[in-house]
Amino acid sequence: MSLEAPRILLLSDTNTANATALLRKKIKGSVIQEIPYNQIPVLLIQEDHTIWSNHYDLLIWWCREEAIKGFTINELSFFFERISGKADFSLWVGFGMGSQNPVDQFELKQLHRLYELNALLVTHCMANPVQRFYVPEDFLTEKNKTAKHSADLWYLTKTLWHKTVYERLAEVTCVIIHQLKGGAVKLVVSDLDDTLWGGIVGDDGWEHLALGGHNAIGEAFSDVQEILLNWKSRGVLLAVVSKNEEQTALEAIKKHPEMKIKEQDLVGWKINWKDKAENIAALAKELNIGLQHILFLDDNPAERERVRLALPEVYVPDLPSNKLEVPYFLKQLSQLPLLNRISEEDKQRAELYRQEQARKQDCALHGSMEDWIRSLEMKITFRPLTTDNLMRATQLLNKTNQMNLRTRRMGEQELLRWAQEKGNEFYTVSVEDKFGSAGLTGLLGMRKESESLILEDFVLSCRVMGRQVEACMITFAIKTAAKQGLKKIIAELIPTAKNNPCKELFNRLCDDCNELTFTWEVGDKHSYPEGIKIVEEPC
Amino acid sequence: MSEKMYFYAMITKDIILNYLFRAAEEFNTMQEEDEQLELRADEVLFSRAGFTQAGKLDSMGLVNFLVTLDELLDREEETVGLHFDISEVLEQKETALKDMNALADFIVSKNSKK
Repeated sequence: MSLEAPRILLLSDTNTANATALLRKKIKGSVIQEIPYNQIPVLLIQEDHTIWSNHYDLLIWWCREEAIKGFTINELSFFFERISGKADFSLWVGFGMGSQNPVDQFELKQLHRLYELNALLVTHCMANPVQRFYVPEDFLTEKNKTAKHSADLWYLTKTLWHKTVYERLAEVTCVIIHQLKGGAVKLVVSDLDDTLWGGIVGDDGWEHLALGGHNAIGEAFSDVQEILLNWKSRGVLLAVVSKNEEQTALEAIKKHPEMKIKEQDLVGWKINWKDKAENIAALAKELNIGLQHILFLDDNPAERERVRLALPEVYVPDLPSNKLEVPYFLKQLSQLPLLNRISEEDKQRAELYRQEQARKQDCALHGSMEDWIRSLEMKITFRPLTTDNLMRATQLLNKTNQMNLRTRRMGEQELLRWAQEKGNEFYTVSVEDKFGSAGLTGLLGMRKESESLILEDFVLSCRVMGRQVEACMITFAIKTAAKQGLKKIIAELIPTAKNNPCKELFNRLCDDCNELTFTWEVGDKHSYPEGIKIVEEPC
Repeated sequence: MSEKMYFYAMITKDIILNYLFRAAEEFNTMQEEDEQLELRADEVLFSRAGFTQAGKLDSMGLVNFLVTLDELLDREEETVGLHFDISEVLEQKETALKDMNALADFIVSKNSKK
């Protein structure tokens, strides 16, 4: 599948020139396959039609009931199943609950048929995660609500829907293509003024922002915040990037009584006068999240365009200019698969980042690093590798780059075999403190060689770096060597483009070093830092 | 004379041109860059035999533009009820759609006869 030039099949029984033009405009490089006018029945019947000789990234079905009048529900069920296999993802637009043909004498049995058809599509989508169902009304906005069917457009061009309806379809399609490119959203970065609340906090003051209360705009922004919190409950992280004075903006977040998103709901923020693209890139780096997993919300078209240009991987939807439409627009995004594929680990990430924010704030309250470490009430657990922790250990081994001594990459079974070999020991390191548990965040692989213990793997997640976990791991290795009557610990670093932090750490902690070889004498002089509880689980 | 009738009596080409430009701005948001209309009175709308300059719009684009204009006129309080009939414009496209100027003239003439 080449998503640089996604292939989209648009199945409709009406003129789709407007829809196609808008899809091409929104999804650069896309190849849109339209079908000849009034050819739906032929396409459904002819499995060997040339149109089916291609496989598509996305199929969009948007037909009137008139186009499939002659088919029974059973026949259509068969056809829908078959054609959905021709694309990686299908978007089905259901049948409007009323005849769109002015000469039709609409009767109850026709209404029943429309219900049946929509039920068929819904059932089809429920059984298949790569199918989505919409009703035409999902693409209506305040702007096009009254003009959805334009008699002029129909009689002059056989276009059924107003162009703005197709504009919304193109936006939804754009999100699906982004998701198909592997860009499931993990982090939503939002602007503040006129995006999370109405008004400019720097000019108006937090007391005068439009948020909640008996005010149409305020109510809409309150709903926007609720939708974002709903996304958060599904595991998506929330952050803020805004051009404002940080203190002024944070004061609004803390003090405005109608603020639903609280400071603790945010994993980070960059509130300053710098370029927003630069701030988003910095946040992504800090949070260790790929740019393709970021969705950026901003009311200002110029800021959106700037971010799109500077960071093309970030998904930047065009928010409706009418503030009252924004909650409906976000609701449409909510229905997309974009937010649906979130793992348990992703869900925990928000909690871990929240803990990290609390830790940073707590650190600032302490005079020295030692005092702060002591106050954290840390507990570090060394646990031998077993089948229970094998999966997470393998993941950590294979994805950690910075604090990684030799950057060995191994599969689960290979790692387990190595750990079970005579003379080898492999431990996982779990860290928790008064703010919560960081889980399994370190690995220590050791190999006995003559009178020395060789460090084969020293891996630590950046999540817990700088809290003396590193020193505890070295002390643990020394104590392990002592128990076996060995005299030395030796670590030979294999340098990579990314593991310089590991080299610097070993230079700082070792007894002796020679280029990339670091040694420690086994003896009593190494002990665990004060105030950290160490738990060593037996093999 | 009611306030609205007074307005139609006073309707000028400049006022209509202003609406045409606003409709063009709205229309342009959905167009590719090379298919966008310039906000000029002599902007040619439609290519026809006999027109000296090529227009930006094909027949589909033309209908889209006229629908956008129709909606704008319907939306604005001061022009609600202003006579504007897309099929009438298309029937006389040789004259009415030569350029923005011609379209403005056409709309003014239709309303001055009211």
